[in-house]
Amino acid sequence: MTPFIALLKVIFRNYFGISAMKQKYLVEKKELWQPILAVIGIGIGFFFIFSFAMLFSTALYNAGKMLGEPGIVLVLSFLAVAFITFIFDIGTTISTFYFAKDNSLLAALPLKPLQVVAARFSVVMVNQYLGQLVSLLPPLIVFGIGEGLGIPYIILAAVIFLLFPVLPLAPAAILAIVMMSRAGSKRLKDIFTILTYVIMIGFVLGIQFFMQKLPQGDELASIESVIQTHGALLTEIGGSFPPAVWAAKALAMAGTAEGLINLGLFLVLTLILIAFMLYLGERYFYRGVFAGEEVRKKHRIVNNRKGIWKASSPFKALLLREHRLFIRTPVFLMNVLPVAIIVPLCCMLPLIAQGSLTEFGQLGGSLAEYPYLKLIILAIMTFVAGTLPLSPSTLSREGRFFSLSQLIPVSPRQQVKAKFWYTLAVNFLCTLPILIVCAVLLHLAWLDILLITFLGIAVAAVITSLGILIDFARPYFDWEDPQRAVKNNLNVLFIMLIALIFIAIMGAISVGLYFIAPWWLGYSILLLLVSASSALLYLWILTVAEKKYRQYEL
Amino acid sequence: MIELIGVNKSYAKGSVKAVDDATLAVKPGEIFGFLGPNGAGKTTTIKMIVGLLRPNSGTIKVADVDVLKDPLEAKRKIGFVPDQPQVYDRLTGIEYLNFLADVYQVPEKVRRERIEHFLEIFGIEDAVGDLVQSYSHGMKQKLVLTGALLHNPPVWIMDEPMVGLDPRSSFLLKDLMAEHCRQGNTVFFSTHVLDVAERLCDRVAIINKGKIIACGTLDEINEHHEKETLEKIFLELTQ
Repeated sequence: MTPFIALLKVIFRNYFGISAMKQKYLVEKKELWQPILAVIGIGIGFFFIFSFAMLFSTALYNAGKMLGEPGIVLVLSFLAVAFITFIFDIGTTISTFYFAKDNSLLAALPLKPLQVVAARFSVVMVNQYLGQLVSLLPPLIVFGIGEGLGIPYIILAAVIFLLFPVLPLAPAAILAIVMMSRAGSKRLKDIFTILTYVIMIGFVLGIQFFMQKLPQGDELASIESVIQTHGALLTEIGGSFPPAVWAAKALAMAGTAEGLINLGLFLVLTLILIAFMLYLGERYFYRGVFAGEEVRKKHRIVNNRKGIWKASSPFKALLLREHRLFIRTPVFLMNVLPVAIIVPLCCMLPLIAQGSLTEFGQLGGSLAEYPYLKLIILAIMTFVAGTLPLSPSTLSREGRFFSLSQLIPVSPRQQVKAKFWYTLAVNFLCTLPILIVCAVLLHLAWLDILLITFLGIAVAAVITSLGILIDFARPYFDWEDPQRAVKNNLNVLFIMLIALIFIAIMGAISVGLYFIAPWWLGYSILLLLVSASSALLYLWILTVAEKKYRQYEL
Repeated sequence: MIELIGVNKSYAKGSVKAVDDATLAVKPGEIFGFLGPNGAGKTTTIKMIVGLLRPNSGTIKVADVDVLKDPLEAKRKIGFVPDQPQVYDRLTGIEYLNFLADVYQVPEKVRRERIEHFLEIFGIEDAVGDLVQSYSHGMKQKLVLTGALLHNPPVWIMDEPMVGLDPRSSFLLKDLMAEHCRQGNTVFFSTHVLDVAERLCDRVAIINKGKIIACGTLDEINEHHEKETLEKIFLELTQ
């Protein structure tokens, strides 16, 4: 086996926890319900998302066909996947490349930096394939079936499917390598990571703002008008991101000279990007990895600082620990904060772009007649709380340091109590911007704001407890890079699904209440129900904490 | 001070016995060395004593407190130094120490005195304002040692405590261990350095393949094996 293949094997085994899973589920045959539940959960989630993507792709394909350009579905899909991947996976790329704890181990081995970069990049690529199964596979299937294409198309589509992630991910990796090579300290590395996320948020909001500036109304008519005004849609879009068009033309015009040229362009660009990334990796990768590793001689002396020796209660100390570890780990922080910022801004930007703020304000007046509709705000808040990866990674985020929590003379009940209250506070604070935006735009009355605030806290408490319960059931301590504890943790998917179910149940109860109770009574009943649920769940997590803490053997 | 009675620990549904019927007692005022080859069960035994692992059967007592029945009280009696210095990377040294002082409820005045004392001994007083992620392995080890000792526990349990320490700090730690025991307390530590065990320990136990195969003073062990050095006894017993 060549050193690179051996490296690839070990990195995959380590990253995806393959060896650990084999040992646990196949050798020790422990907690077999976990993979079964995961397969069922992922299967159901995949089925729904894939079905929706197939429907959407079919609609897009039909629209394109009517305009005489069926390839639109491919171009738009390639374009969307490329941008979304670049924006959302740049954090994953940085984390996988630079925050993996086994970097120092690999650096000591007789491997070239470019080999390590290539292996890490392969991990990011494989992660991307999983996403592409629902984002790129459906349009490829729809186009292939719609155009009646055969085996050569399937082969070509498979090649493009496998190579396409290079287009967004290699630039992301290049950006990461260049930025990190400039970081002279670990603190600067953290700042660069946060900066990358900030740029990402700005980019998302910019696109959102730009999209809302486009002519509104019937989408088909809009596309038609673009074609009539600017010529072929493919060429129009090609101006903004040519590789998407090359990939689409390579598939749509397979077998023709033009198709071959486009395939050639696509392959050449892919190869250039990979080569450039490896070149930079060879030169600068370890410079970024080891930035700040050297122990400095000059240290700050803290003894004279006021309050440094101030004693706190164990509970306060635990809260403070939660807070410090959360805000000082950029990967944790930036997987949470953007949600709190992006969602309300995405709600507001269309209104600002279209100058519809006043009309929206008038909607608030009409809500007085249908007070139950205000619960939609609560549903959005619940959804946001459900998308935050904080509660389902409560224990997992500690990673191997969890053994420290098992060592300290504070009961697991007390420790979980601190974790719960801290997570609840962050979860609620992240949903608060939505309430504020809605309160301002819809001119909500103080009583409404107060009621929704109470409901929001109770709902956040339910989601927090459910998230902690999920983490209790399947904690993930053995991660090498912090991204694995939050973003790539299946627990996050589970809590999102549970939040959606919770929203559905709450929605059904609200509809029922609408028919039988005046709004104030309905709100009170809801508040009572959610508060009771949150109290019960809270007591539940405190009760099982003791048993669970003893159960985990690191 | 430390008592293990018929302690067992197995993995993989009982197919791998990590610790097999371990019984030993460590008296007050003793420095006790726990020896054994790699994978013999030293760390597993230590993790059970400090409450990180739960034995399948048997009783463990620390300072007369049953570790399984009253784990919190037992933890208060223990200062534990693991084989790998695990400290939160994203806290500064002083934040980490203050966190431990808070959870062990060490009063302000006492914590200040003790922290300053140990930081000075280990020579890291100027580094405690920095994030732990910038520390070397040895500095982390010194920080862990300070954290483990700052609540003045009667029982010190240390897994390979000298690893990563410079010769001066290693010497000072051995001094601290001896002083701690002179005050009637107990030190239980594992080591691969047999010379250290020979010079420092009042008694030693040797564990191999999960079983404690020898326990006593060096003279007592020598009587049975008629070898001049602990190294030779160790090699004979664990081959």
